[in-house]
Amino acid sequence: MIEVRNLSKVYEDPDGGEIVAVAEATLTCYPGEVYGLLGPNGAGKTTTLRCLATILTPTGGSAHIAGHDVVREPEAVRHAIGFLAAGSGLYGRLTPRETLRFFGSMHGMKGRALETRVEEMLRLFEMNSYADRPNDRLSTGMKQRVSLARSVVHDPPVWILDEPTTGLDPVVSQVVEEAVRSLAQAGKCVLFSTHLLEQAQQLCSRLGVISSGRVVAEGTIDDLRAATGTPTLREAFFKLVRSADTEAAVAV
Amino acid sequence: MRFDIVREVFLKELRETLRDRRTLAVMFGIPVLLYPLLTLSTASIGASTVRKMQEKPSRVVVLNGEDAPRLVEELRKPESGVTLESLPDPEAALKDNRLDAILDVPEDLERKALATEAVKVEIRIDRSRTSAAFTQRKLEQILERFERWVIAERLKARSVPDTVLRPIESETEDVASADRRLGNLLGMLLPTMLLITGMFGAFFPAINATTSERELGTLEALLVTPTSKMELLLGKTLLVLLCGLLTAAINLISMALVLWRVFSMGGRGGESLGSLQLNVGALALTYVAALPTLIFFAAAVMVVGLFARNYREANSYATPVMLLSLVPTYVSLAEPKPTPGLLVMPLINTCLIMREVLAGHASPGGFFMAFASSGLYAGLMLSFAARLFSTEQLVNPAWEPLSLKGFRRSARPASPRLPATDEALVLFAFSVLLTFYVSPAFAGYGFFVLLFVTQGLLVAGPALLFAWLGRYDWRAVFSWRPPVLLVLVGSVLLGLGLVPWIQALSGLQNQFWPRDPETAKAIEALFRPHLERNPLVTVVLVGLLAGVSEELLYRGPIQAALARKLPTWTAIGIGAFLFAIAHLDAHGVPARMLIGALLGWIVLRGGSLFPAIALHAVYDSTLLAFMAWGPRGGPLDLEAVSRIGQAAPAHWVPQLLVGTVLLAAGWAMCWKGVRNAPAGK
Repeated sequence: MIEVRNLSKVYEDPDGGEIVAVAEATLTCYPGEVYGLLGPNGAGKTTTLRCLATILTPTGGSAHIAGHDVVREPEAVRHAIGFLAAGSGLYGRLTPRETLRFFGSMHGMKGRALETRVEEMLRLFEMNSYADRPNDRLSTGMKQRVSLARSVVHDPPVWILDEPTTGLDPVVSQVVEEAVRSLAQAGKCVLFSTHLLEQAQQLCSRLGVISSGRVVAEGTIDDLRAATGTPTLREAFFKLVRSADTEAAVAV
Repeated sequence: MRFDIVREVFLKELRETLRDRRTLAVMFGIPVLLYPLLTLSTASIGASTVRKMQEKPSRVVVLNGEDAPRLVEELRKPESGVTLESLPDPEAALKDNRLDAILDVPEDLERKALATEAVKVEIRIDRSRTSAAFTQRKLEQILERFERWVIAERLKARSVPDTVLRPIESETEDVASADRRLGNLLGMLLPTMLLITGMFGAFFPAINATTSERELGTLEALLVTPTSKMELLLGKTLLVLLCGLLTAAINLISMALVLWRVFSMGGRGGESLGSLQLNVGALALTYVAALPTLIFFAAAVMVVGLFARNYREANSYATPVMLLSLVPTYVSLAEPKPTPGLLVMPLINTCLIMREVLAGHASPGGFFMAFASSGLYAGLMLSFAARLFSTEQLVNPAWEPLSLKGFRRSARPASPRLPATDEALVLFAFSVLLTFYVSPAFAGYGFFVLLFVTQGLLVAGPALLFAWLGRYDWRAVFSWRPPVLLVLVGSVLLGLGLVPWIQALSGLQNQFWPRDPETAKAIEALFRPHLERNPLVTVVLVGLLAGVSEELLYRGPIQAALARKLPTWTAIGIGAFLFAIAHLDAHGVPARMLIGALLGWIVLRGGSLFPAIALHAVYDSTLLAFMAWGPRGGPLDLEAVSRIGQAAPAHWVPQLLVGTVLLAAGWAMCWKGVRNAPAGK
């Protein structure tokens, strides 16, 4: 469902030279699974996901989502994905209902089909009691539900979430985690980036560890532990990140 | 382009705007309420002050009044509007505002005047007071009556009837209709108000549609929907446009109503402008004339919004853009004639044509010219906004389209490094400001000192200092590489061949945009004396200094910075434009842009600064050489070329022919040479 092969993103450094944000990242994510992209801050998670969401154009490699190439068929890719990032906000002066309607229409939905879908989302995310209150006047938890619903209003087969629980308290985080689980159970392919080991452990069926722009290991938690010869995910993670840093330093 | 999507984006923006009270207050509140109230109160205060000053008698002391009994009699008349005072120290009283004027009568005034001697009466007033003008007018009227009496007496003494002095009775009638007089006044105020308010009306919605979306993180969510960027931008721009146009329209109507009201009040009082009918057609046409420029402004504030990372930044970037809308004030004050040249100048053309429409003498051709050219500028600004909107860095919070971080010294090794665009722009501004403010101070020290200071310290100096402070790679920044011989020789030929052609082009330009004779005279006055005294030194030194210094700056850090990020021809174009405007001579901008572009190309493609220096120096020197040694009327009279189309002597043809041959040869050599050159970029 998501197939990434040797994906690279290189920026020009304003002070001369180049900045390699993603270097030949490779990963595969299947329907019905939650794939966790695990890495420290600055590892290249956001850049990778933004490339997949067609916000950025990769400078090398390829990526296919639901069979569509992210560079050649960006519009088809955007139809197939729902995207939610930590920094995603809401229009303060619109209500949750209007927000869902607007994003639905941006995906080409209209008329009765759109209205039915909006009602379904309001019910599914339990937002009926505040559906017509301006977003500005909602609590953080309520807002997060609106954001989640907004990103899947067009019922995409693939859901990409970029650290969606950053800055949220455990109660609100749980809302997100539940949504992730239930959508994966419904057969969606969920790609989820995080730097929280515990969250990754509980939520993800498979993990890709990313460091210095490279996906250094991929597999289930057991696979990662076995590959690194460590007893816990935490130790496996540190070992992988450290070895990636050393390699990157040598490469530089 | 899917218009139902555009409509949805537009409606979303509209819904947000309608729920934003601040924007609504700016759009509707100010013109509808505050602004008429303000104008009305100011107008009524103004009118009543004027009436008060006219009615209040002016306090006057007449010195030596006994020598002019008839004059004093005139002053004593109740309708004179003057009261005669007798104060011990009238001078002090005048200073302390206890007196309005002193009338100083010379000795034996009346007797001398009647004896046909020339005499002079002095009026002393304090002009720092608003009432001074009224006092002066009253006293002048009294003196005029006195003068008429004196003349009548003189004629009587010679038995001549006083009608000999008035062979024709005349009466002046103002042919301007009341509509046209109001039009003139509106013409002064409206262009300014219309454009400023249009821009203000567009500002908040534009920031809301761009900067706020980025800050909120909603822009990213929008960009991952299948909606294209152009559909998004169009929907957003339409709303911004609507707000700008609506605000301007409300202001126009409100302003017209306010003026109508002020005049109808004035009509009941003293000065009446007659029964005024506002010409709705002219007002509507004015608005139509403003449309493209309002679109231009809407696009400009969109660009500001896209550049800015947050609301605060948007506000600070907006200030200089807002100042653009003040251009009309200048145009209203200067009241220039609508020449074709001015009718294609951005902003100025709109203000001019609005004034013409309101004053009732706009021509369809002029209107079309202003409208079409403004439309073109609006299109360019819109496409710039579109370019900016389509950059993938738009949602990157670390994106810095405008920043000054280049001067920050860091621990990292600095070189090899090239300056950033914004740093180069600061350098440009610095050098231009230095030239503008500092060089006049050296004008008194002689021509050569002025030349060295301007070129060496104010043009080349900042460039070198900049490269040193920024620790840039000098070789790369100044293209400090040995030139390809072919390019060098070609450049010299180009420099020579350009001289008659540039002269001819500026002559053609004169046909529709005449050069200001004062500027031409000033240039002549600057060089002529030195060309006569030391022709060789002047010709060589000016060429060399200008060539070296200006190339070091414009084809050095400025061009290097522009070429780093921008496509080659855009960089060359912007560099040439900066080079042209730095000469502070509007008429010479097209010619200098052409030369600047050629120089830019040679440096970027040839990889070396030296050919550009050679071209520039040879061009300037040749021009001066013509001034020094080309006698008027002879085959070397360069002026002849610039008179193409007028009564030009026959030898402009050979001059242009020689120029063409040199240009062709030079171009061919450069073209061949740059292929062998090291990559300039």
